[in-house]
Amino acid sequence: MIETTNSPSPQPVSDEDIERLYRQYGNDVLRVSYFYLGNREQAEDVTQDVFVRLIENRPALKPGSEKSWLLKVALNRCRDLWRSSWHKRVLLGSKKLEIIPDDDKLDDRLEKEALMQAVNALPPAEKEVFLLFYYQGLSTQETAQVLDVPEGTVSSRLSRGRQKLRQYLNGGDHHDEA
Amino acid sequence: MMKPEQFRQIADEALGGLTAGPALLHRARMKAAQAPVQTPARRLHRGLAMAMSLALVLGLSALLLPKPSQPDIPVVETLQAGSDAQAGMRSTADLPRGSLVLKSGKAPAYQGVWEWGAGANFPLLRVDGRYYRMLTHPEDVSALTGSVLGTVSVFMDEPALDNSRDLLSNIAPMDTAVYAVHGMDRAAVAAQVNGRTRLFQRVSFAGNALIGSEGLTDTLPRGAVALQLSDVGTVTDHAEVDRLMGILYDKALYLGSQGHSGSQALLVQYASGLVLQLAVSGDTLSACGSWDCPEFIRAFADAVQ
Repeated sequence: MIETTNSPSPQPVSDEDIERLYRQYGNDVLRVSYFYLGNREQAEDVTQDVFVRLIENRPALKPGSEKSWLLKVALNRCRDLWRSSWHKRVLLGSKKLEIIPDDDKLDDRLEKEALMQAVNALPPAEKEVFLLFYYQGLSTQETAQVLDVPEGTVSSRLSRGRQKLRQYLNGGDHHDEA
Repeated sequence: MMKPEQFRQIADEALGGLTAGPALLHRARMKAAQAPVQTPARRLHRGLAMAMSLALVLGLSALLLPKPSQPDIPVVETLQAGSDAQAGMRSTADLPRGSLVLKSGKAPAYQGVWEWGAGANFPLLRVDGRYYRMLTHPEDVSALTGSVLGTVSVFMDEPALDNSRDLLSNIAPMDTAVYAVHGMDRAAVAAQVNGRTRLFQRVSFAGNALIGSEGLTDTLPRGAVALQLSDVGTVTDHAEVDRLMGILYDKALYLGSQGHSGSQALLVQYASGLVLQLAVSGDTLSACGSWDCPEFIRAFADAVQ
């Protein structure tokens, strides 16, 4: 006997959905993009592009998968911008991430900033995994889906990233890949 | 030492001042409204059409080698410089024939009544969330003004960035009164600009067009007495105008809030002398939103024959 499920097929996102998704995940998209690019204007452009895609394409998103879709589009766009700014980065060097705190909440400012800079200094592939897994709270499976890589790759990148963080925070060198 | 597990909390604190505000979503909506809608099917059709066109053009070019078409834009006749210039000799001041070409500017070739702005936006008013574009004709409509709808409370060059519903303008100064216009209902308003009471027509702006249950008659009132479609002709017979407008009101299909500049203009004149405009591109008519009505375009062409 064939089992049938009553769950309705996902519908294209409506105007109300777009408003809700922006309220729910707009900050996440903006902050992940900022973390990736280190440039506020570019991060805002990426966030804008993500929601332009959402408005234009009206994808049918399964409940629970919206955030992954938004972050996937954002990271793809970030990678494009990252690649296109290769000459600038190589010539001028990567900028230190500028912290934009809400008022003055940072108590252990130096230590916390060190962690932020350490994550920022990770190579893009490891930084993506770090941002999705540790910052956005996605599982390794969800992270793998967003990045289109096997789950094992996510685990190994997380492991390598943690090692590099330890080296960086203990005063060792860090790698700033172009 | 900090651990990666603390990263989310730390990052949220560190980037707490970085928030996605409503202006950013508004920008996205504006950009999406400006971009042409491309469904997958349309993209496929366009790709196929381009590939076939390219193959056809290349094939025919190779076989027939047609003469290059002459440009429609005027070419300035130029002469060799100097009074005793020898035929066939060129000096550095010479302008060979065809080296200067007059190009058409931003304004369309047809005669319309929409006013153009100096900046990126056309001169406009926003009243109750509805946008109105200033018209070039007539120069003063003070004799036709009705009740005061409000006064300009926001004056700015980038109206799309204002999310309020305040009465806004980028041309009429602060505190300028905005009036209803007799016979126009919500389709047009008037306000003083540089000492003259100018007419403003309801149009699309930044993805805003019809509101609620509004229809075409809310932005293009009944009662037209003459119609002119550029490059096609003019219809002044009242019965014929009524019939054509009836076709437009009955058959026009709303395509959306996006406006199109168009290659032609439909001018709609009323008994009061006021003229409203729709930009026409193929079968699409645009002013406040875009409407598809091939029946009207065909009927108009038949009527002027």
